[in-house]
Amino acid sequence: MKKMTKGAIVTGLGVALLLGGGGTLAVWNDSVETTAGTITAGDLNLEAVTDSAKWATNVPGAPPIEKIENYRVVPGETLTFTQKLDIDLEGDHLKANLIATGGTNSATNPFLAENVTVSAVTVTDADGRDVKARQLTEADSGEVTAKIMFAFEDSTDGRESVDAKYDFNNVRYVLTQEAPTAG
Amino acid sequence: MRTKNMLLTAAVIGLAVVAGLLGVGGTWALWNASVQSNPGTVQAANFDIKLNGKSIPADGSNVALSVEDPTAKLSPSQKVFAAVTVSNTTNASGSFTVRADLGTPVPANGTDTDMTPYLSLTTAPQASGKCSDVPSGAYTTAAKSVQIPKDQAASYCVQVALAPNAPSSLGGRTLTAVLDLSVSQLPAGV
Repeated sequence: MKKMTKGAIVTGLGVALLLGGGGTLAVWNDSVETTAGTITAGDLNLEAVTDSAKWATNVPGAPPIEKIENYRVVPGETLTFTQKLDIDLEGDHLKANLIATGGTNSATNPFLAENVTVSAVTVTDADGRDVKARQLTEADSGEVTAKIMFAFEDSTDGRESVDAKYDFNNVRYVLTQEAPTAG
Repeated sequence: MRTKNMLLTAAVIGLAVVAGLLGVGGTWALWNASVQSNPGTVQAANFDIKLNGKSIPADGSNVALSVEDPTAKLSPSQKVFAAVTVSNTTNASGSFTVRADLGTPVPANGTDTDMTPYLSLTTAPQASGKCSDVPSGAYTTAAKSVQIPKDQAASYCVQVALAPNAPSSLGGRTLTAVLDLSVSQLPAGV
């Protein structure tokens, strides 16, 4: 047998022995498991409370206004429109703001401008706080009330604005999340 | 040369990212929700006041009254009467009370001045019946005022009398009398 052949046989035997030893190659090791849990998204929603839109007059003892389209207002009378909205804010760091747009007149037979005063849309919570003027958080979830006041001024003279109309069109309420600030 | 190509590639990628962001737009949005309501249309009432069943002209022009007895001739022994009924027929939904102020009747401009010293023009409230049946003592020259709620009316009588000593030369002459009526809305809730 040649020397090279003998050397190869010895080397192969050594490798085989190493393979046969198996675990003899291991060192200390350990393991542990953790559960990262489930991430749940929050929620942001805005809904009109069903059948909550109402008009009322300031005339003492007057019955509720059932249909504004059938109602005829007179000088000196103030009508108030209310609409309840349900704000839902869920999120540990959720911040949002509410705006209201619209409520403008586009009637074909409009009131004289000096005969009426129409307020901007206000939205207040149960404590009477202005909801539009502040940053809302989860704690602000709940029912709020939007309101518009229409005053037919008692300074109306002669037969001004008889049969006039004021069309409010749609009032749109938008609840928008504010971008979280980087921590 | 290689550096130039890398810069060019980076610029192209950057522009593509910006264009992509601008294109989709909404990728900047956060949660939002909206709802809308329609308050409807507010309409003013009319101010419909009727005088003897006819709407008072909007321009305030005169409304002719009819004498109660068309055959009656004014003379020292015969008075002439006319009824004035003011009706509040507004379509206001709430309470709507008006005040009607009736002035003292006076001869119209251009009336024969020979006649005026002998004329007596008076008014009286009319509860019911004919004006000729209203007691003479009820007729006065004083202005009168009455509140008229919605859907109600108030009536007055106008009496024209000629003094007993009126000369017979006034016979055949005509008289036009004017009666001022002013109707005002009272504050809501009255």
